Amino acid sequence: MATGRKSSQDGRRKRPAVSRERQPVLVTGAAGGHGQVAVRLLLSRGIPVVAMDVRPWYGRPPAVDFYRASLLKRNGEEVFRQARPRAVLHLGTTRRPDIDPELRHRINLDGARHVFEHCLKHGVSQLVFVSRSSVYGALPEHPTFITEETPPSAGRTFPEMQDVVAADLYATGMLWRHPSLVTAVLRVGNVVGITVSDTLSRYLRRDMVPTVLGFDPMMQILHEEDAARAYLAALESKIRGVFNVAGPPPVPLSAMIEQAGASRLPVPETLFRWLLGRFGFPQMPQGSVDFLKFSNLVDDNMFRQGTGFAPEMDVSATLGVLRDARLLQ
Amino acid sequence: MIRLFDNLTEKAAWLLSDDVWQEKTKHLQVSATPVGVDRWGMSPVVFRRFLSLGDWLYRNYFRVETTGVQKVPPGRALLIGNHSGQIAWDGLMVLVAMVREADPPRAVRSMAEKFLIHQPWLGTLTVRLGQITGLPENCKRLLEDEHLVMVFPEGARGVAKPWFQRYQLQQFGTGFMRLALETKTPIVPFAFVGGEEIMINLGNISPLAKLLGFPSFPILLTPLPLPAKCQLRFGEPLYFEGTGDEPDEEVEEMVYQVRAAIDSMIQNGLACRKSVFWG
Repeated sequence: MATGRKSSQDGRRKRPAVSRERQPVLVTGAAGGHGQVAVRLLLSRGIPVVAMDVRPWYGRPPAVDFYRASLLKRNGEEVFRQARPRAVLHLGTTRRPDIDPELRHRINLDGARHVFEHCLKHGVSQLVFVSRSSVYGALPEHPTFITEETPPSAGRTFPEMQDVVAADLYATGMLWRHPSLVTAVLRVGNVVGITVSDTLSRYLRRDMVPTVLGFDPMMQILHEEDAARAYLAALESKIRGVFNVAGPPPVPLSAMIEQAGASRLPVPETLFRWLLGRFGFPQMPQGSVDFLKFSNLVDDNMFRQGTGFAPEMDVSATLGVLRDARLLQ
Repeated sequence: MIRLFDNLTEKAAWLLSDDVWQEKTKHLQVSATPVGVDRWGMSPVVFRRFLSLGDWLYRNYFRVETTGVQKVPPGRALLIGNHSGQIAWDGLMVLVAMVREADPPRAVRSMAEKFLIHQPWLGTLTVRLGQITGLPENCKRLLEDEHLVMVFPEGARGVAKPWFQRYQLQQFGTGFMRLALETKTPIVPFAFVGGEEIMINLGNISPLAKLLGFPSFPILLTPLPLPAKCQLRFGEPLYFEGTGDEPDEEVEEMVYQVRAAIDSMIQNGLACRKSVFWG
């Protein structure tokens, strides 16, 4: 479709004037795991939602206005024109290593640029920009609990993360340059669940989880519904700034694998690196191996204090979802 | 396999430790999550099992005589001492002493070398024992959480001293003092006497250390630790006033007072000692 197409409806209908509070929240990347969970939560709280994704979303809730459109194309801006959102939850990013690097760069960085441009042009008052805590990298010089002041340095050892880091830094820069748009950049930790397919979530879904021999890093995970609650908390509290978002207290990777009902296969590092993408080993970039060796924990106090957010799911319950899904299979 | 390892280490810990150790380690105050580690990664179980070997060395091999442990105040405090022994035997003995001799027993957190934390097995073990990467941010957070933190301000300069520099305090960093001022933390100086004779270092091969990425590469006359009789002396806590943002000169003056207190305890310990191995 040439313009922002409202799926299964005429996308160019004229909307009546509505109060600011009744203007919808636009969720980009809504057909992805994070997006689906976030949209359902917003709807359940009675918040009108406009969803947008370049991918189709089958089985979406009937109450959602869904547009198949891309931020990289003109139809992306058309969604802003038609829907007139008061706030945007930007989830239209990717870290998937199997995507063409140029396309990934465009999705993450050009997507970020366009979402800011459209927000500023079409009178959006609030933007929640979802980034990842992995932008900090798993580096030896980092403190055990990384605060928001730490520079995102993942690109140094993990080149595939450079576009994600650049998008994060771009959003942080725009946040201060345009005070009229209340922007929160959320650096969210590992999200786990049956709907999302983040790297760690996919990794822990395996029956036999390979680990790097001799290493057992502490890790933080956040249940997908808690992640959605965090996005909602950021929207409702209208916080501005950069915030780390994490879940319950960290636990060792070995305990996570055990609680997810999987078995651990420790492999020497050199062999592990060679086996990536071969013989059924996970398809992961070399740079991501550091995250299985060293901790990448964040301090989320600022977000908790700013929004009152507290995760509802503990580690056991979060991983229990994966365990139950494995048993059902 | 893991269960077998657990059983073996538990059995070994039981054989090495005595009732005092078993009892004291039960009362360690560690806020562990249901999976058995605290948020820093410390495991009370690993601490009890692994340090039972340290406890055995403390009682039977180095026969450590500890004095003044009651001077360590409750709540946050910085333990500042001299460093020696090529491997941190002194740190290990302080860890054991603060469990065995202190009432209530306390888990000491120490600032470990980044190099150590990032080694396979060794790094994981170090973290499970409650030791943290030596960074000011980590130290500050631990102190704010009312932990007892051990710092060796000489760092690698102290631990890898050659034999001819034994019991000569090396240059002290000032970071610990700035943190103590900023977090209003008392400093407890301690001296470890006997550590210099555990492993005798004839000199360091710096280029090789640099090449391998090690903090030092000592030429050891004694690759295995010698059973030197050790003394661990805690001094009176020192309280300093300030914000942590004072000029270097002022902070160095405060650091000098701590250094002098440690040096005085070392000299007293050496004066009391009649024999390296028999005390």
